[in-house]
Amino acid sequence: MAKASVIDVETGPRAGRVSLTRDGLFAASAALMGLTLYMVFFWVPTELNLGVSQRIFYFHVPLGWLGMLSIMLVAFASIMYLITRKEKWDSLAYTTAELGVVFSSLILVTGVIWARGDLGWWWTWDAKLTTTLILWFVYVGYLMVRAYAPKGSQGARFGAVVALFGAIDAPIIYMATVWWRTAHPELNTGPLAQDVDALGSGRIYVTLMVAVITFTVLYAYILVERYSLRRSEAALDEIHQSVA
Amino acid sequence: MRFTRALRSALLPAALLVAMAATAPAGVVGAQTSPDYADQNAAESPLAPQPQAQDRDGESELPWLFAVFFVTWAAFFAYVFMMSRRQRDMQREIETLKRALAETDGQRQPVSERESR
Repeated sequence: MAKASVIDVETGPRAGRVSLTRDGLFAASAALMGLTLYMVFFWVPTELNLGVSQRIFYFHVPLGWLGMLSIMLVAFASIMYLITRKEKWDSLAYTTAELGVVFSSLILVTGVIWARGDLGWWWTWDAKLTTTLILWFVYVGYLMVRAYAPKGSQGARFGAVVALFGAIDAPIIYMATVWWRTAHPELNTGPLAQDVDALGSGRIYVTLMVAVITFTVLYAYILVERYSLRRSEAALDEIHQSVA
Repeated sequence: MRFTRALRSALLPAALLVAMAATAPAGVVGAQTSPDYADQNAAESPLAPQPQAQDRDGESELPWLFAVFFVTWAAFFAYVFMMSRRQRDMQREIETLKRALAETDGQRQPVSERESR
């Protein structure tokens, strides 16, 4: 049974389709990344008040969106795992949590660098920054639970519970600038945008949207790669357990 | 199949590295030469809650832009490199398991031959 699952992952009938998707996403993300870099550095005008450092915005905002997307995906996959107990949902939750660590770390680091360059300080304990840091701890906590909890379904269940509690943080991060006065800028895009004129130039808005799409495609590519690797790891674990 | 997979796992880190190396200096030059945006709305932009009084000619801010750019690409590169190493380890593990299975089959073979006689 376990051997069969490895064969499915490696050479099964779906392997060709997955490989095609993966190659397509890779090509798309490479092409879009080239376009984004051109737009960010050559096409979009320099914002008058913030100067050159405003270009950090085109990296920081997509990373923020993907950090939030990750926690929503972790929560969704965890709920699905708790309902169905299918291993594929657990693999998806684990994969998105790992990507969440990468992206939320990048949100924090890029934000900190931008704040230092523009405002003169590295960090302040305001609501937006603190709740984002909490999100990072949620992801790390999830991976620690998975690493130290018993292998198999028990560890997956513990992880799912952590992910569901952690997901509560996502709307709080999003609404932080609405609910509290923070040093972080207000929401500029989306249905709850507080100041839609903030983006000013149409080129700034277009570049931001292209950057968001590009990073989302890159995220999808890495997700597909890591997910298939995670499933293979799980299948190998099964084999080891059955052999032992 | 294995070749294309190995090629792909090597290709992405290489592509990321090339992108990082090639676009960083180009980006810095581009950022310096691109036109200024002089919309009055920007004066009240909430992107800048309380900017410090400092020069906005771009020179002093380039290191911060470069730092963000470098950190982002380095993180992606490190993560993809970690993934490709895991994949390589797993391939090795699969080969070991295959060999172990082949040896077990080899030991069983004489028994089954004896049974058939």
